[in-house]
Amino acid sequence: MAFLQIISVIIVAAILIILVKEKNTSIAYLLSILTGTFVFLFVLMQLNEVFNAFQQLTTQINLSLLHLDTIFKVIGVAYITEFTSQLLRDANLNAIALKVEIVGKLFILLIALPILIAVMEVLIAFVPS
Amino acid sequence: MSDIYLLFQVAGIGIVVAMIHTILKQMGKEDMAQWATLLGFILVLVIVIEYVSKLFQEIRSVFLLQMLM
Repeated sequence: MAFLQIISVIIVAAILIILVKEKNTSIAYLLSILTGTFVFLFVLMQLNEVFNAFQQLTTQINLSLLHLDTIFKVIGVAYITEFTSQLLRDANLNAIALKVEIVGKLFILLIALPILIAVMEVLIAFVPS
Repeated sequence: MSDIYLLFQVAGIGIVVAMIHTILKQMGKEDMAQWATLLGFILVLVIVIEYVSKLFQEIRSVFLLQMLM
């Protein structure tokens, strides 16, 4: 049910944006940011349930929680980066959109660094020195 | 459901501001028209920024991104 609701909100918002775009492009762009925010807030609600399910799963099988947290963080950073770069691309600011993506990749690397180091240590242990 | 009303409000503000702009321009008050448009834009900007910050707060809580930002 919620799916149909959010789709109809998006369609109405798209029509409003087209309407406002002729008269006032800047406010139309702000309206598209607002629509994007509503969609992402809706997605977050559903995503929260998925993450809670994952967390219960890990506690039952006592999987190492370190990696799960890192995965959540990486998804979060990717989520925001995608949101921002698509918005900038929508406003024809492709150069800045690319910059935002580079920043996002950098932060994902920063978050995933400890895992990278752990993998490297395991690999080095295999090499017969 | 309340978010659709906000979308309508923002669209309404955009259209009203554009109309005020053209009316003032016909009346000959060119600078007043610019000010009215700027004011409308700032009003919408405040609304949008409030929602974007709410979104980012939500993202931080869902994705446990406390220490990064």
